[in-house]
Amino acid sequence: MSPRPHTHGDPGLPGVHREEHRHAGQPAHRHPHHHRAETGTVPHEHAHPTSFESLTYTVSPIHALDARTKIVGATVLILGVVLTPPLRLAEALLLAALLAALTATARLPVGRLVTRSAAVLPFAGTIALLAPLGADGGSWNIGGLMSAWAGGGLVITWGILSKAWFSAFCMLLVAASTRRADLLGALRRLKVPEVFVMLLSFITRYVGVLGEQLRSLRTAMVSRAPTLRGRALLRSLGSIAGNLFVRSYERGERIHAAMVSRGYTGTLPITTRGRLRSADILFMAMAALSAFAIALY
Amino acid sequence: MEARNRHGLIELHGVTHRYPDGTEALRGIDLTVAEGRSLALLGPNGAGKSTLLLHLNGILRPTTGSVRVDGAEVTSATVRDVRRRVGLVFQDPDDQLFMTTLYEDVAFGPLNGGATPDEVDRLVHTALHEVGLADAASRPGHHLSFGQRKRAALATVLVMEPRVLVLDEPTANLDPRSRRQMVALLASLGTTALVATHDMDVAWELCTDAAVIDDGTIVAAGPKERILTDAALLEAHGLEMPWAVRTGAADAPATIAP
Amino acid sequence: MHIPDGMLEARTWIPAWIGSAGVLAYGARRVRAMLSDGTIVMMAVMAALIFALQMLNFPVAGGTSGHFAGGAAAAIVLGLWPAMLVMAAVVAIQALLFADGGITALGANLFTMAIVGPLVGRAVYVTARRVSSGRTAQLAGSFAAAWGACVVAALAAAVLLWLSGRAPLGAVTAAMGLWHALIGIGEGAITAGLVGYLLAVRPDLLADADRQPDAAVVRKVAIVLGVIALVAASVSFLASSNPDGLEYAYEQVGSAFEGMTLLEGPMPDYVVPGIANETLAGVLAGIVGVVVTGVLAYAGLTGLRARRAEEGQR
Repeated sequence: MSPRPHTHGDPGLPGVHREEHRHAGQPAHRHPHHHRAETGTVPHEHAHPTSFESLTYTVSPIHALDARTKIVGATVLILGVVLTPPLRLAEALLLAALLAALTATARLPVGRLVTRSAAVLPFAGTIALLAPLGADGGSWNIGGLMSAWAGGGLVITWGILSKAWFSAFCMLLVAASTRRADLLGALRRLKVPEVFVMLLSFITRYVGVLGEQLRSLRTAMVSRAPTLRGRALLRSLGSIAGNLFVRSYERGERIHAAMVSRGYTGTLPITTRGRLRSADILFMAMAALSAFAIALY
Repeated sequence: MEARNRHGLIELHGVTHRYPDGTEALRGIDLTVAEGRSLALLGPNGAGKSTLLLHLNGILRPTTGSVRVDGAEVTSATVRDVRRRVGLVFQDPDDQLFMTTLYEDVAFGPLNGGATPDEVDRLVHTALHEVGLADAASRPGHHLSFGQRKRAALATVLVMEPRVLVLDEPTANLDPRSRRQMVALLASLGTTALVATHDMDVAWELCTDAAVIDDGTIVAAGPKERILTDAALLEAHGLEMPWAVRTGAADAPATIAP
Repeated sequence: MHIPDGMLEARTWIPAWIGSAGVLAYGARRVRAMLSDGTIVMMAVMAALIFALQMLNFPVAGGTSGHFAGGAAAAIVLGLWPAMLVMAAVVAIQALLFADGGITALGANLFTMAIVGPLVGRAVYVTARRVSSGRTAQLAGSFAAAWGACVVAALAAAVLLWLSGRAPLGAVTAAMGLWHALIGIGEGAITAGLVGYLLAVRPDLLADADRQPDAAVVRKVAIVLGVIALVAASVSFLASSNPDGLEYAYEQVGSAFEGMTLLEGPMPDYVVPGIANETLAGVLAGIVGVVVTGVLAYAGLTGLRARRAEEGQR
């Protein structure tokens, strides 16, 4: 937003003003259990924002690890997988066993993590299949492709697919075993700029509320015009986006007012908890060793 | 308003507020909230209640007129102090629970005020205990039910130990049980308060005084016994008599003020 | 369009990370200096909104569907730097919490979706506004901005994939480009609808497109990106002289098949991709980068000159 002109003594809160004159008749939405996972209702490749949140409350040794350990450990493991030649079968099986063991220790549903991480495969697959042709263009026809595959190009395809899948799985393992608050705190302590941590915090906090408003607007649209197509559909979606935008803007103003009322001076106060314990050191060592093992063999 | 020799805890004199687009939200408001009293601010939607409330802790400044809190005028210099003394609880709890856990939300005020981690811990647990949410500290605020979130939002303000509590529609959209819980909780606080509401029964139950605002001006103010029994006045401004008054039920046992 | 881990080579994803982190860190400082605390809170809520809006699906050709991305919309409404940060946060959350895009590849994904997207969106919109300040220009400009952002971001991703030797340039740019040209129609329409709604209801919320610094900013960012593209291309070239994992695989596996009569002809080419090709790749990347940024800079500068001329005439 362009900085709005500040008239004397009036920071201006049209959000509130308009709310009184327009929204005043609408009750605030009640959200008793909107955090329950509703993966089926929004057909979309991006996961429902809260689908994993309930999993983060499980109690397990992995959940108990410091968030920084998990982030760094996962990163090291992913680097090990990504920076090295495509895994040989034995290595891949060992890695899979390791990840399965971690998932079991974390008391998380393996099937769900596997299917969710497999979401990377379609995109990765399309590129992976073409990859053996390489940057020099090759003969880009079925003949060229077939000979590329037969000539060992399938290793490249395997490499891309396996790396993508393993890495996705590692990240999901971290995401499903770490509470949002701890994840954000860890990022802050890992020196991610404050602006980003604040953005990430607000996204995870308000996406549920906004998502629900979006759903009601969409339901209203669909109930009133179930057969909308093409341009008309897009125009309606545009209005929904605009409506939600204005409401979010006004909400932003109210949130800022609430923050300022409690003394906000520009930086979010930090309560840093958590110390690295022996379990954390052990985990990091294990991740590092695995990465090295993959790299060396 | 009953005359008081000492100054009111909150005083508005001739406050007008004009928005940048020219709309006049407040036209010459004179209002006093005396210490030890609780004032119900009543009025139809669009009357200016929320705008008025935002003047009480300096978020909005009057176009003309003055706002005084505990004897001091609200200016850029005094505003930080004012915000510690005036605890403003907004209508939508989602706007006030913006951190990742309830603990962090309640700790926000004290931390910004420079309290040490130990003090913060003590204050947070006291406040959560006061509103009955002691065991929800490590959960995200938005995982609570609506009624719990209203109480959580209250805790984020109570933790700062304000001199006067300002509440915007504390019982709006609450189911009957949550509403009773909230009313009981507020009644137990024993603090000077200003409650903006259209819930006439809450006004009658919790407050000692009442003021009616319509179209940006205060049309009547005084003890609740006088204001909330005046059927003609109430109807003229889109309000109704409290149920207790209409049926002649006994007075509520406790108000929010001590 | 989120690239997963393992798809890009180190020579591509490392410069991408460095470049993106640099641009965004600079952006973070600019934003803090430029905006009040209140507006930063606003940005945060907008970020949540964009994330939520990405659930808006629309059908695209046949049984497939695309979804709203929001980079151009963010740039039009919030301004360039806030939009970049907002989109960066969205992309980062998707990578960290949903494995939508890898973390080594995060730098590349930030480049395409959080830097190129908003930049193109803002440049096109600002240019359209210079041409005419009428409502039609604003709506058409919004549509074009969103469409352009969608397509160019996809092309950027395609180029990155090609730089890693994942696909032939022509094929991958054609595929990604065409697909996103279709999705772009939906994105453009929704963005235009959003802007139209705001013009009708809250015109004060649209970031002032006539603000002078915009063209200069666009030009600066475009130049920085051009430099990054050139650096990445040169690093690419240098790094490729050391056989990396991909080539190791080619060599190992390829040599195992030597002697099999069934496979001949193109085979030797795949065993050791010629250095000459890598050089060509590097040079081409540099040229593409400079041309793209040049076009953007030109658009921004023309706009700036037009405005100056206008002011001179008053």
